[in-house]
Amino acid sequence: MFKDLQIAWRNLWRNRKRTAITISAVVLAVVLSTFMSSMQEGTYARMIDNIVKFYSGYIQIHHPDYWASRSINDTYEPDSLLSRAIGGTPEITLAVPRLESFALISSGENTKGAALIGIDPPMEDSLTGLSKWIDQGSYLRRGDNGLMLAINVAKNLDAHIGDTLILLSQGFHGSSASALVPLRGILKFPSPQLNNYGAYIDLKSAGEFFDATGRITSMALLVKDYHRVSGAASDLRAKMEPRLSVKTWDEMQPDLIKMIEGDRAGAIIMKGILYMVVGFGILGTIIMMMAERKKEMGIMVAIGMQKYRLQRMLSFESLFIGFLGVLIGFALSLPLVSLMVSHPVRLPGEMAKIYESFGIEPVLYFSMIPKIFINQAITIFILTLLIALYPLLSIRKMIVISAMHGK
Amino acid sequence: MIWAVSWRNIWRNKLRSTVIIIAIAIGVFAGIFTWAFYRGMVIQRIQAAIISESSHIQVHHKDYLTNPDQRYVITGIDSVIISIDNLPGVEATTGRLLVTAMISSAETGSGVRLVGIHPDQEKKVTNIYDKITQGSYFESHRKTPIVIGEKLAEKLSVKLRSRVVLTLQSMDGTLTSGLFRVEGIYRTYNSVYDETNVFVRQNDLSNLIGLDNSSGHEVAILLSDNDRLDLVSMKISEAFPGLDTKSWREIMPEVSLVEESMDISMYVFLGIILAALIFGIINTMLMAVLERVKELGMLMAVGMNKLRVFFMILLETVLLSLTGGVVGIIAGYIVTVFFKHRGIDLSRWAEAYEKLGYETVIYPVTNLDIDLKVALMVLITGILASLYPAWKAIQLKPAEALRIDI
Amino acid sequence: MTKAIFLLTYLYLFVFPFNGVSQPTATEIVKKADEKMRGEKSSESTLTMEIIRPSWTRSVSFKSWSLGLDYSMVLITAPAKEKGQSFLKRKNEMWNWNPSINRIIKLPPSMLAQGWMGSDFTNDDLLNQSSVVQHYTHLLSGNDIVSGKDCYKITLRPKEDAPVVWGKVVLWISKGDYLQLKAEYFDEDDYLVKTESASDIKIMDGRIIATRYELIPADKTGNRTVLKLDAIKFNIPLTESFFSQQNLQKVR
Repeated sequence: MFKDLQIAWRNLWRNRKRTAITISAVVLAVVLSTFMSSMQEGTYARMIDNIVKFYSGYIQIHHPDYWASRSINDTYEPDSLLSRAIGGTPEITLAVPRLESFALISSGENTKGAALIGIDPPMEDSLTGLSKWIDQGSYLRRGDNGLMLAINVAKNLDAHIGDTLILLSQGFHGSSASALVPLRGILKFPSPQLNNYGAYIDLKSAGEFFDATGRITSMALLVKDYHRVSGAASDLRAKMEPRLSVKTWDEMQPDLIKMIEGDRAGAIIMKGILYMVVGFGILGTIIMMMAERKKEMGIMVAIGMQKYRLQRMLSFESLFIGFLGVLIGFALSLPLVSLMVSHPVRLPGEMAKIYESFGIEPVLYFSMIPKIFINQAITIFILTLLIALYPLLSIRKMIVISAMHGK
Repeated sequence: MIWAVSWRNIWRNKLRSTVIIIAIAIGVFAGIFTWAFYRGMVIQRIQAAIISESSHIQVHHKDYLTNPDQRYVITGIDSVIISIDNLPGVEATTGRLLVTAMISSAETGSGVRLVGIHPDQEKKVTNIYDKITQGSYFESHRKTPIVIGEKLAEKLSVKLRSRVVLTLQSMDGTLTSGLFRVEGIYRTYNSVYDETNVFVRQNDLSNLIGLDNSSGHEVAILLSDNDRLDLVSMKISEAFPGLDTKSWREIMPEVSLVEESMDISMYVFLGIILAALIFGIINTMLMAVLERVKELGMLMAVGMNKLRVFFMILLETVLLSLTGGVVGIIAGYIVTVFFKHRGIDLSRWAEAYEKLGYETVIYPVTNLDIDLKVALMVLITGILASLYPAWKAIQLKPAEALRIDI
Repeated sequence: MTKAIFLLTYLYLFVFPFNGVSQPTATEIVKKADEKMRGEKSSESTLTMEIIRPSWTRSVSFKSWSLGLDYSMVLITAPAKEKGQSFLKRKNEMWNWNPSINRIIKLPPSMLAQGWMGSDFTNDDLLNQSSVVQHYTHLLSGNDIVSGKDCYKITLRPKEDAPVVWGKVVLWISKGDYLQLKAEYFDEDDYLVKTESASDIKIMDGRIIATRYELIPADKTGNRTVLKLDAIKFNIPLTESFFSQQNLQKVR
C-alpha cells in the first residue's frame, strides 16, 4: 500500500500543469467559501452588536424577581462581590448601571407617562453612543440634576430646553416619588418607536427620586462579540446566582433570535449555491484529467494492473489534491480575510447614508473566528472526496479496449 | 467558415464540451436563482412587516403622529376611505379608531393600545386574523367581543370568553368603563406587539367613548404592488392636503435598512459567484487546451496561423457559453417558477427553533429583464475567461506538441 | 273562637313585622348595607394605613373628608416625605396635589392599575365604585359568624353586561346593623383573588362601625394592606364646593 501512495504522489508531479490546475480549483473553492462565510458571520455579528448596543447590552444582571415584575422594589445594590465577579470575567469590556421605572412627566398642562431611566452619562455613552442622538440642548453630565427626553415625548409635552418639568412616580417600598427637573437635552433617534419612549436622568438623581439611593435595576454588560456571551454568562452565573440573576441578550429579546435564525437559513441556501458552483469547478477539472489519462489507464489495466488498485491509486491522488488544495486555500484565505477585517470596504454613496442615519458604520464586515476557516476547509475537503468518487466510477465502467484507443 | 469549424470542434469531444456547457449553465443558473432568492427574501421581510403592522401607507390627522391624542380625528373618514380605495394600485383600505386604555381582569390590569376595527375590511389589509391561535376573529355575534395577544392573555390570566373591563377616557374627558369578552387570542412574532395591541369592533368602541361613526383616527392602505408606493402616496397627499400621509418607509425606517443591507449582500455574493465561474472556466478550458495539445499542434504545423487558432478557440468558447447560457436560463427559470408558487420553507434549516410560520417561507421572484442581464454577465465572463487558455494555446510549439506525450 | 283568629291576624300583620322576623331578600340586604355606606352623608376621619410585605412594612397616616361615595378629599399627615400631599376625588376623576413640586396632577387612565400610595388598594378601586346593587344578582347562601357578629352570607354574580371583572363575589353582612364585614372576590374560574375583611367593631360618634379593614391579595403570600380608623365624625357640615381643586391645595 505504501508503494501505491508513492506512485500516487509521483503521478501528481509527473504532469505538473494538470495537477496545478486541479489543485487550484480546490484552492479557489476554499478561498471563496471562506470569504463568503467570513462575510456572512461578520455581518451577522455586527447586526447583533448594533441591536444589542442600542439598549440592552449583551448581558444584564438583575435582582432575581426584576425581569418578571419590573418593579422598583426589585432593585439591588451593586457591591464589591459583583464588581469582582465582573472584573474576574475577562470577556466583559464594559459594565453600565441603570435604574429605571415608569413615571409621569408633566409640563404645563400636559402629563404623559414614560420610561424614566437613570444612567451614568459617560458610561452609558460608551455602551450605546447615546450622546450622538442629541438633537437640541446638551447631553447630561455626571451628577447633573437635569433631564433628557426623546423628541416625541418632548413634543407631546410641549417642552423646550430650559423648561422645568415635573416627575412623578412610585418609589421604593411604595413611597411617593416627585421632583422638579430642568430639561437639559432632547434626543432624536432614527427609529420612530424609540422617539416615543424614554426620559433620562443621572443615576444619582434617579436614586434620590425613587428613594432608592445606591440601588440599580440592572447592570448592562458589553462583551467583545456575541460568541463570547455564553462563556461570560455562565462564568457570572456561577459566581452570582441565586443572589442575582444573569440574563443574556437572546433571553431578553427572543424575537431577535427568531429573525436572525430566519436570515441564517437563507444564508445556508446561498452557501449551497456557492458549493455547487465551485464543486463543479473541481469536478470539471477532474473529468478533464480523467479524459486525458484514459489511454494511459487503459494500458495499465491491459498489462495487468487490477482495477481496484488503479482505483486506490486514484483515490490517493485525490486525497493529496484535496489535502494540498485545502492547505494552500487556508493559507491564502487567512491574509485575505485579515486584510478585510483590518481595512474594511466602505459601502457606496446612498447605502452609506442610510446606514449612518441609524448610527451604523457603512462598511462590509468580516469575521476572523477560527470556526469559519476550519468549517470551510473541512467542507471543501469532503466535497473534493465526494467528487473523487467520479474517477472511481469511471474506472469501474471502463472498457479496456476502448480506453486504450483513447475513447 | 470558422464558425462551422468551431461548432464541429465542440461536438467532436462531447465530454469536454458538456462539462464546459454545464459549468457555464450552473453559473448562469446560480446567478439567476441568487437574484430571485434574494429579492424574494427582501420582499418577504418587508411584506411580513407591512402586512402585520404598518400596511403600505397610513393616513392620520396632521397632528396625530407627533401627539397620539384621541382627539385628533379624521372626520368623514368613510369618504376618505372610498376615494383612496378607488385609486389604481390600491388593494384594500380600512379605517380604525385608536385609543389608549387600561384593560383589567380579575388578576391585574395593563395599559394597552385599543384598536377599533371593521373586521371584514381589516382582514383585507392586515393578517392578524390569520394569527389567531384560539377562538375566532369577530365571527361570533357576541355583544362586545375583544381579540387580545397571547402574551397579554397570560399576563391577565384570562382565556376565551373571560370577562375583561376596558377603562378609558371618553371624548369629553371623563373616565368610562365597558365590559368585553375575549373572543380570540392571537400571536405574532413580536411579543411586545402582542402585549399591547387589542382589537374590538369599531362600533363598540365609538359607542363607549362617545365618538360619532363618521370619524376615525387612522386609515391603513394595502397596495397590490410595493413598486407603486411613491406614486400612490403622492396621489393621496394631493387629494387630502389637510391630512398626514406616510409610507411604510417613514413609519418603519428600520425595515428599509434591512432592504439595503440585503441588496449589498446579494451583490457581493454575485461577485463571488462570478469569480468562481471565471476561474472554473479558465481551469476547465486550460485543461481542455492541454488535452488538445496534439490536435492544436497539428493544426499549427499544417499551416493554420496563430491568430486563427486563437479565434477558433475563442469562438468555441463563445458558442459553448451561449449554449450554456441558454441551458442555464431555462434551468433557472424552471426552478424559480417551481418555487415561486410553492415557496421555499426555510424552517427546515432554522436550527432547533420551532416553525416560525409564514415568516420563513420565501417566494423567489422572476424577472426576465434581470435574467437576461445575468446571462449576459456570465457570457462575457466566459469569454474573458477563455482569453488566457486561448493565448496559452497559441504558445504551443508545434514540434513539441506533436510528440506523443503521456 | 273568632276573637282568637282576629287576635292572631292582628299579631301577624302588625306585631311580628316590627320584630323583623320575616327574612329580608338578598338584594334588600345588599341594598341596605350599600345605603348604609352611602347614606353617611358626610364624614371626617383620621386613618392609618399599613402596607405589609414579606420583607418590609410601611405606614401612612392621613385625614379624610367625604360626601357620600362620590366626593372625597385625603390629606397625608405622615410619613415626613409624603406629608402635605393631598388627593381629590370627584365622581370618577382623581387629582393629586404635591407641595414639593407645587403642582396638581390629574390621574390618567394609565395609572389606574397602580396601588394607591403603594398599597394593595388600586387607584381604580378607589375611583370606580361599581355598584354591588346594580351590577349583580344576589343570592342568600347562608349564615356565618364574622368578627364576632352573626352575618348573612350573600353570593353575588355579575349581570351579563356589567363592567366588572369578577366571576363571583361573596359578601358577609351583619344582621341587624347591615355592616359589610367581609368580602371575597373570585375570578370566572372560581379562583379566590382577594379578600377584604372588616373587624374591631367599635362605637364611634354614636355609630357601630368596623374600625379595621384588611385587604389580602390571594396569591401573593405575605402581602396585605391594613387600614385602621383612628377617629371619625359623621354629618359634619360639608358641601360639594369643599371638594374643589383650590381646596385641594389649601386643606390642612
